[in-house]
Amino acid sequence: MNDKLKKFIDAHREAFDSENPDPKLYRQLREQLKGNIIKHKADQKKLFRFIAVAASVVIVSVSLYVIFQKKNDATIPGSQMTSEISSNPEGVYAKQIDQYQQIIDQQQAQLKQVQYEHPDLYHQFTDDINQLDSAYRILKTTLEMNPNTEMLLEAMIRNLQIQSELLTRQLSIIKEIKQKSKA
Amino acid sequence: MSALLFYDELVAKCKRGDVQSHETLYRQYAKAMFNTSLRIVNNASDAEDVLQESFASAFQHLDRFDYSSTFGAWLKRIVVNNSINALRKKKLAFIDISDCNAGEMKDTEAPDEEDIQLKVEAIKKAMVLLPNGYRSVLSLLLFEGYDYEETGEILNISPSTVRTQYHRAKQKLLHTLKQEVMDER
Repeated sequence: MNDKLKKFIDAHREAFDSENPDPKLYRQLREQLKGNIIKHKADQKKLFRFIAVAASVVIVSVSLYVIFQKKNDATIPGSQMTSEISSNPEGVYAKQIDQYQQIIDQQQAQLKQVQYEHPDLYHQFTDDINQLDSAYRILKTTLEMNPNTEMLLEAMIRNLQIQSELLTRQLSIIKEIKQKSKA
Repeated sequence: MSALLFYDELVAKCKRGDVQSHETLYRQYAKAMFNTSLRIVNNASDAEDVLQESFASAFQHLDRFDYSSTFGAWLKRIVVNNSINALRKKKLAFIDISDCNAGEMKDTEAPDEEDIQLKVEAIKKAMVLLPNGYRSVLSLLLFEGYDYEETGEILNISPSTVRTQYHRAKQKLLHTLKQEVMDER
């Protein structure tokens, strides 16, 4: 393309950009961008609703699991116990429960940081966790009445695991929303 | 090459959501981008639509701009792509390009570039009269600084086709220019 036409255009390139767009265009652009921000917020609301539904599904699954465990509690012996658990079952379970509680406490503290930033989301998330937690309390009360029931202890640990997993997801959703709102 | 080679403070401010910087950036590039689009879509109203759409898209996706090119080059590519899409929406397919009558011209008939007074306004006028496909190829190669490969990528045709189209388009343009000069005499 080393030709005269190309050279001429290169030499007078600026002169070719002589037309001007409508001065009103920038205002229209700003309005369009604002409109998109509103749309973006609407999309976020849809996302929150989806999260709420997904969390409810998790809660129902956990509740069913807990009910199932309680029913089988009396009939099925704890056949999957390790030798460690056999030797000191209460100690091992207590340790696990303690570990999960610590993780959950940390995660809940993190979640609490967004209560002013995203109050709706915070309430939705804490509601979900509270439902799981009340299921945990029922298990705990049952345990107090039937001490040393391993299936019950395993169900409690599973409940805490799910609480922790749910919190992890909630925190990652918050992180994602924060990143999106920054962009 | 450093990813931050083309770091631009104004763009960085925009990335942080500074509205005033958005406007400054717009004012800096709007005119050049409008002319780029206008040369391709060939009418002011469509070029303004492309300009608004392109800036909106650029501002919304600024996080994707990583300073590995200049902001202008990044924006221009958005403008060019949107302009080509605007032409395509009007169902002006690029495959029709080879069917244009300029393709029938023999090399010997091609006017000598030296004979033609190359004037800015004359070229602009001749560009407007070109078929969309030819005008697009010339715009990308002569005005926007893309090479055969990049132009082929934008227009979705092979670099060799771009080369052929470029030569035909240039002949057609030079013919039109010659005609203009003769008409003036």
